Amino acid sequence: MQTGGRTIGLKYLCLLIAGAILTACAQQDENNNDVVIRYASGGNMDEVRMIQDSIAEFESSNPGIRVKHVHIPGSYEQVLLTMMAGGSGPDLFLMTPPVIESYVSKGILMQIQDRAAKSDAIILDDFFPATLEPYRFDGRQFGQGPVYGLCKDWSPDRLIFYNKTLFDNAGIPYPDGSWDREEFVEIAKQLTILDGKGRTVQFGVYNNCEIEQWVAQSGGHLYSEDYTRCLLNEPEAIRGLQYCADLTIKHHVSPGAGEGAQIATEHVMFETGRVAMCFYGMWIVPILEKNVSDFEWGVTTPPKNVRDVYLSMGLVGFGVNARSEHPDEAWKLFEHEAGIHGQKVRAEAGWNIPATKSVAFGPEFSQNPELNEEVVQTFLDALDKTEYMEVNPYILREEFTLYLRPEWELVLLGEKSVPEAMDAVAERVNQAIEDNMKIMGIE
Amino acid sequence: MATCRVAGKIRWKRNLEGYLFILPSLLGLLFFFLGPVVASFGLAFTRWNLFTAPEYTGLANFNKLFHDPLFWQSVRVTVTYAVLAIPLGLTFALCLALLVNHRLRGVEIFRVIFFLPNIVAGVAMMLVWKWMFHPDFGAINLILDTLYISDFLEWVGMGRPMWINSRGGAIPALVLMSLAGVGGSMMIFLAGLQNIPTHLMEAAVLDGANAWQRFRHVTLPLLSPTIFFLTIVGSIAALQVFTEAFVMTSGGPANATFFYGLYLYENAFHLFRMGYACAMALLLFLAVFTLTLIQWRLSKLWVHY
Amino acid sequence: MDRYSKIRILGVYTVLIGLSCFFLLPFCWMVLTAIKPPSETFSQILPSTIQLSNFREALTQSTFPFGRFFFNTTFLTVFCTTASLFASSLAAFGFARLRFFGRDVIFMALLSTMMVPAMVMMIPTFFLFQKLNWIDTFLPFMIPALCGNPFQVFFLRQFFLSLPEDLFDAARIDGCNSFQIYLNIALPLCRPALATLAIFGFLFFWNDFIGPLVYLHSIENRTLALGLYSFQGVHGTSWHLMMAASLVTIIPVFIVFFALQKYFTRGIVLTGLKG
Repeated sequence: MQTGGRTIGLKYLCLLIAGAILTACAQQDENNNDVVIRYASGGNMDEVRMIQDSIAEFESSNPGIRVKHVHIPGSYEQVLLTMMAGGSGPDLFLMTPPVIESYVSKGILMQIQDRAAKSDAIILDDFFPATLEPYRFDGRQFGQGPVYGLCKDWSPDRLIFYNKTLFDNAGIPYPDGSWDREEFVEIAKQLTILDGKGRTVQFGVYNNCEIEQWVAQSGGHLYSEDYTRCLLNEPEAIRGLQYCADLTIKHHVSPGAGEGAQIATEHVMFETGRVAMCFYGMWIVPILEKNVSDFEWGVTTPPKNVRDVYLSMGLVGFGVNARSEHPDEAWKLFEHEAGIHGQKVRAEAGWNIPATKSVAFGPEFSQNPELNEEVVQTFLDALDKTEYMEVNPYILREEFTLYLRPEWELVLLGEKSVPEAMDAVAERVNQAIEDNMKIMGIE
Repeated sequence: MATCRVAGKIRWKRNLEGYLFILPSLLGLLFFFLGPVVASFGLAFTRWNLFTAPEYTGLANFNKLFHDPLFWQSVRVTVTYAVLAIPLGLTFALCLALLVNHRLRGVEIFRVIFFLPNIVAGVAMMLVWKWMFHPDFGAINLILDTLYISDFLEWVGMGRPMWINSRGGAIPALVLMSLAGVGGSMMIFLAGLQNIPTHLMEAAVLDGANAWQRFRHVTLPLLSPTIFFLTIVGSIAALQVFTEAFVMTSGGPANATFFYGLYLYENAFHLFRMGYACAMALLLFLAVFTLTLIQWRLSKLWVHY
Repeated sequence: MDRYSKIRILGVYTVLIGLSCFFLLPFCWMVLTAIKPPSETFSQILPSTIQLSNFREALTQSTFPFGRFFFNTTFLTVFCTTASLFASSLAAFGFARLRFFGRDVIFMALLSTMMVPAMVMMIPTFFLFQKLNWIDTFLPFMIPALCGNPFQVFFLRQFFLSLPEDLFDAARIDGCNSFQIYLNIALPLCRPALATLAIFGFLFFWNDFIGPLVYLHSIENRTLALGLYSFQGVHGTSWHLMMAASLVTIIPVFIVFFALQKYFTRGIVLTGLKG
């Protein structure tokens, strides 16, 4: 009896010791005198590989600095925030412009304007204005003040990709971007096919384009100039929104709210030929090239309307942690990634459009023989009409979406009219802006 | 008197013994739990954006919550789901456990099959379910079509189920999905069923009891500790549902699956309203605690040890 | 009597097979996706060619050392499951069969730890581990595991309570102390319960994603669950690779499951007790 207890106790002890040894082995980093900085990003295997190659290059040209890549798959912002709040935030990280306001007010984002001005690797004028201005923030407004980060790459995110085979089947000539909204609906209708039971087997278009672009192209705005009021219930916005909703509820050329999301990831609809047209940016090109083998596809611009504008919704970029313990080393890594060199490396991969003009129109991208020339040219031509989406310093995009999405889904379900829904949204958003401004101490 | 002194000494020894047994758990409770919990509940009375110092705001968060339509929506959704999912899940799990409790050849294979969704749980699984719920081409409706159930539903006036594409069908869809995950509860019931002494069953058979009577008077009472356990654990889990809503429906359509956990996450990590989120957490805790306490008291009536 | 049993058995098998189809559907999709080329993932159900190279490709990615992940995950899972079961069963026995001051209150307190949403605890807990300097080590998993787990404690307590009182009284009369009773009588009798908890525990630690995501930063320290997630990204998701890798990572769980099946022996053997 006694021995039984003792052997179990002994086994338990062994486990403990083994565990302790292994954990000690797991942390062998601290042995040399190198400065260690941490670089956080999300991304899948290919993206991580690219970052690791980039890090290896940086380390070999910067002896004495070691970079630890912290890969955050899945819920990137949540984990990044947890790390920052816990005090062990990374030195360099990827981010998007909307978070600048929160990060700056919390003192965790370094202002890079001054360093950039003195740097050789970074030429601020070379950046497309549409990629640089959103990264400016003066404490109140975006678009003015010092620069807080630099864009990694970008694209007009909602141009129209079309399935050439399906167009051929319907006998429709390929679109050249000169169409207007009526023509667009007509073509979409011709491309929508139902089966014997009335179920749609092929949709003309998958309207995954956010409402912002439809509104902007109708001449409307999300917010007033001073960002204190929501303008979604103004006539121009309503016109754009109505057209967008009608694609689903009136003309039935686009699937409903839940349908697209139901097939795993949205680009599957296009890849399997279930929709003839879809809205994407340059970044979908490598995915399509990998997954699509049985039809040809092309790109064109959305139908013309009051304003010819294309929105960029991403603008992912690099930021430096203001509370970094090694700001100079972090800055060097930032230069390496965000500067001309990093832009060139990414351009050659062809995953997105470079944020700097010299690289975008240079040999790595626009004249790169390995990239699809037609597609690249269409995107480059669209660049001077591309703007970043509106960012309101008084209300986070997530909060705006929280109020907008349920109302918009009601519209798409056919249960509410567009004006009614937008009145409700505007009311809630205006209230939220007012509350937030009070909390921020602004009147 | 001597007996009193001995009794006191025995009690002291008993206490010591008891505490030694629960020592690891107690230490874990104190070190890893107490601090964070006190911090979280304390933050419920502040406004905190995760970086600048928290600002004491008293009961403002709670006041705001009670006037927040999104809060009430999340409560409605979560309670509806729990009321549907827990009883259905437990019943289904018990039926499955009774089925695989037979000493048939190959029954282990079925045990694995029913437990499979728990093993491969994750984002991949949920994406498959999303596809299965497609109203026109998904597996679920295809099965309903072949069994003529959807025709019946249309005849009755309910229409073909649109599942997560509709406001009414979204919660039933998630409940159905949770039923696929009862493998765990099934295993627990199985362990409970295995624990029923054979001699009691034999005595019942000898007394002339049929299958239903055996079930009602021997099996169920002896399973009652397990049922109690699963009800409490199930309630706690059902009220904190988050991942399914996050991955499958994002709270939609039109907030039909806007779970409490989802709104909490939104507040904590998307809106930087950590104090507000902690207030939600505190309220949830109080609700679950009260519910558990009630179930505990009621258990004296029907749980047999 | 004979025909009735045969019909009954047939009936049971039919229902079992019918239900199995429902439970197997997602798994079938996983297997099919893992063996198909990527362009066929969503366009057709049955593969035109079987691409077993998916498995090799998924596991030999240069950026993610799956071998290392496997080792880490195995170590963590085995350690944490065993340690927590040991600690939890001790505590469960204490709460069920021993009497001491504050027993029920402490038990309720332990139970209430399950009622606090993990999300809000994440940041204060991270802060705690950060102060202890345990980030990027296995300690945030190992040490709490040594303290047991309220789910297991609750479960085993119910079990211990359902064991007949006379067993323990007899043992005490024979002169055993509490630890001996725990070790030699209570534990062996709740084998099915322990096996069930072992399976759950193994599954939980094997698939745990958020914990490793937040606490393990260096790639060498990471686990399989994180590795699986890395097949997804903004620039596309390799479903075929992800499913292939998922299937491989499930295999150990299957092994454990089948190995523990033998502990689900029917009924308890009660020798030396009159009925």
